[in-house]
Amino acid sequence: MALLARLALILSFAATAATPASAQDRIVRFLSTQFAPLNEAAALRHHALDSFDGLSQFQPYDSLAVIERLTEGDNAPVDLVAGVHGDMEALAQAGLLRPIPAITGFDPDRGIPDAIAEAARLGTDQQMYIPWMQGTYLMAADRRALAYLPVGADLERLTYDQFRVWAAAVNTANGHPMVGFPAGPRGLMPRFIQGFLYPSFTGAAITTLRSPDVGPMWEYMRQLWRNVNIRSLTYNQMHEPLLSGDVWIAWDHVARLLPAIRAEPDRFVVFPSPIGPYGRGALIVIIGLAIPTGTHDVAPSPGDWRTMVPRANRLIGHLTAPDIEAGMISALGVFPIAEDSRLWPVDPSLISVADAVGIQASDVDTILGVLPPRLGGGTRALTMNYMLLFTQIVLRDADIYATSRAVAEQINSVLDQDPHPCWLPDPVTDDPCRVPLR
Amino acid sequence: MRDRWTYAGLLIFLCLLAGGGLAGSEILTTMREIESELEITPLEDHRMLAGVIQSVDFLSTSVDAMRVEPTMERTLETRINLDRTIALTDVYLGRMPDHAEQFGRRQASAQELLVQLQNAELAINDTASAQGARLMAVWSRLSDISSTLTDAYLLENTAAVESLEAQSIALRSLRGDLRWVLAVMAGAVAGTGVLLMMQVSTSRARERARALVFKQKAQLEVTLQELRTTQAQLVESEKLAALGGLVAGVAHEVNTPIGITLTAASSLSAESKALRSKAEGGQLRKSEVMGYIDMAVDSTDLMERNCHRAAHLIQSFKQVSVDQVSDERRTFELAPYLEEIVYSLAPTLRRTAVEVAIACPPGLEVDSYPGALSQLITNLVTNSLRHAYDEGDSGKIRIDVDQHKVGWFTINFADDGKGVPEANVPRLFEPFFTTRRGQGGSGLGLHIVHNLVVGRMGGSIRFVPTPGGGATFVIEVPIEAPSSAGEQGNKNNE
Repeated sequence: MALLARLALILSFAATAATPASAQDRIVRFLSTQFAPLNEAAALRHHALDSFDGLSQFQPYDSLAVIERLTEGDNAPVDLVAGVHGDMEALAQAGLLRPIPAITGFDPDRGIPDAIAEAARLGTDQQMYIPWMQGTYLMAADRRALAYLPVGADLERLTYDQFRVWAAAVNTANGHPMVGFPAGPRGLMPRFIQGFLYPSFTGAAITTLRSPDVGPMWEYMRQLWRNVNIRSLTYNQMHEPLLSGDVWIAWDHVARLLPAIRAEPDRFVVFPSPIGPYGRGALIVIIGLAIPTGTHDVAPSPGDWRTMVPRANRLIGHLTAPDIEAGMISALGVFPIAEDSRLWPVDPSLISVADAVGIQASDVDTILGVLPPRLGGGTRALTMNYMLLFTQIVLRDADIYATSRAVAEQINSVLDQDPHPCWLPDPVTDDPCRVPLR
Repeated sequence: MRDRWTYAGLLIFLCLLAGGGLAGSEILTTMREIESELEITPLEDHRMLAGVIQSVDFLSTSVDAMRVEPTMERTLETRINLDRTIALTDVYLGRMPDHAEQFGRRQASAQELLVQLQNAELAINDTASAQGARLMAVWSRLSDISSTLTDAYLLENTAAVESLEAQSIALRSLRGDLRWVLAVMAGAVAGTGVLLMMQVSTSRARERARALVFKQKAQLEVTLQELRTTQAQLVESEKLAALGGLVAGVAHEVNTPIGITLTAASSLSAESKALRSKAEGGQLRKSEVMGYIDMAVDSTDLMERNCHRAAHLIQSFKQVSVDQVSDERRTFELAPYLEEIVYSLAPTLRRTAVEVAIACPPGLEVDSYPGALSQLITNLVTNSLRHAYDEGDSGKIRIDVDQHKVGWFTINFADDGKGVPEANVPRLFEPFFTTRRGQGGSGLGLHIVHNLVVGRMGGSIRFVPTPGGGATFVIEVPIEAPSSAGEQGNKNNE
């Protein structure tokens, strides 16, 4: 059956005009901003689409603009789109997404965390996309470090204060710091500052950039840094220093920790990022599924949304099945959002990772953050400003408030170039997002 | 055991980073030569120095990128890389107390290693410079490093070697013989440099190395200070901090007239020698003498014109340095002073149909640098006359002064000329950016204006596109200039 489906797809690509209209009508055209590398696209097709008992045509594009153009077009209507939260926001703002009425009615027992379900409404009262998979950033530790955990500390609910005490204890025991961050030129340390530290200590990331809470936050980081391996400034991915034993405790993107976990699953434990005074700031890369407005996938008779988009509905049902979602962990290194799928059996070496991802996404203390939207060309500059705050204040001992003000002005100049409402963890309002300067 | 060894012999780093070409066979030969007389042991601290070097490499790359395209993103990247490099260097030198203990026990060996490295660099380049960034400059590619070398001297991370492009440098001792070989290997995936060093001992070399420690430590201090100065420059004027780029631009610009002059002089010299030879042989004809004279006149004319051009460029370049112009600071009334400036431009303006009108509140006194103000207004007017209007065009330039906020005044300088193409706007203040290359434009006028406003007067300048044509520069400066250049920027960023 899969072979036939593939064959039908190939024929549909190669000779669209010659394909009978009825066959065309049965294909679910599925575009995605995710899984664009060839190996990932192949893995998705192999793992998730080959077993689909309908016809689907999956085509990933790195460029959201291409997806927008194809979604707007009428010649080859698009039936389903996958993308990260920011992509969905952009498509919705362009009027290219069809609201999905009562997503909770789609499968009320799937167990989508409230914060993520809320994010998927994109500030409206309607569900605009179906939260599907996620990527995030976690902590990992060599089991040898667990002996030095502060009394009463629970890895699943570790506080930043406990983290610092733990780091100091490991330092003392070994004679040198053994906590590591990916603070090298290609590391993801800016995401830690932006998506984890700021929300945990100030409640948000942009609107609180100059709040009084930043003083204690940066003082905390200065103290923590004394127990961080200075080679962190050269680390880009943490799985290697973990495996080499250079560090015992590390924070990084889950995909950059997985090689160590897979290599020596008994040696490492994985756990959620710590909790600060405001909660557990956590940046989660939500991958959603959405229905474009231009789809021709409409059943003749009116009814609920499932009969309105019958073909897409079938594919969504398949893609969100627990076995498919759980299998995506091994196949593509992304994790299910729905609790149903998170509880599905997975590769034993990945259980602790899947659990940590689940806790981080669904914990009541989690302050959910999403990746910054595509701010013209300024998205990277925005993120790098957070790294500059770190290097100036922690490495160079610059004045916290003066530096915060200077960086705030720079961030505002980026935001002013392409005004955009704030995004999580900041309050999502209609006003252009800016750092308050007064 | 370790005390027996010093590091004057053989150091091996294998490195992934960029470089240029020393034959692997040459290194092997050298190693074999000294192997027979020297014992080899590995150093412990290698990754730390590799981290420093890797960081310098990233810094160097981002500085280059920033010079080409000075976007906010590239500037941020440079500043972050600079902070990283300074922090790593601080730790490396044992100057960060919180981390000193981490590396303290290895510090001596690491420092001596750097001593070797820098000393070798001095020997190679025969210069006294000890800039840390120049460590990069002496690396050369070892493209054909052999498996023998790999097996013999890579003591760890051997598995990674296969996927790496190994590089090394050979360092000549002060006597000129090839003595030290360095190679750096950085794990491509790990992002952690793995630096493998071999050390060998000779008592004479050991003594020399020790003697150099103090001298080289001082040089490292200079290096660090230079890095910090660079940081200050970046902070002061992020977009235009690439002093190196400026110097390179001058060199590039001056190179052409100097090259022409040199060619003409060489040609004249050759012709003169030929003429003398013929004269001595009694074979000289009148037509040949006349031909020589024509050639000599043309050549000297060419040399004179190009020397003037070079002198003009150098003069302009000197003006870029704020410290060399307009040093006087005093309190003066703005309106009459602006009138004076424009009056001084009357000879230039008379040759055009462009008028300059000034509107400035009477009685506004400022405590600033009148020379700098004069220079910037002159440059702006000259810039407008040169670029905004075609020959014979009439036009009007307005210089409006007002006070929008306490302690500051604003000069709106506007012409009604052709305007600036959108693509050129981001580069307006870049040194050597000109649309009149070859027609007398040096590309330094607006750069000088920027430096005067920001560096000397402590203000800011921005270009504002004018709908329907024309160009407007908005200059905001404090009524009381800061006491030293760059003060404002440093306050905000440090």
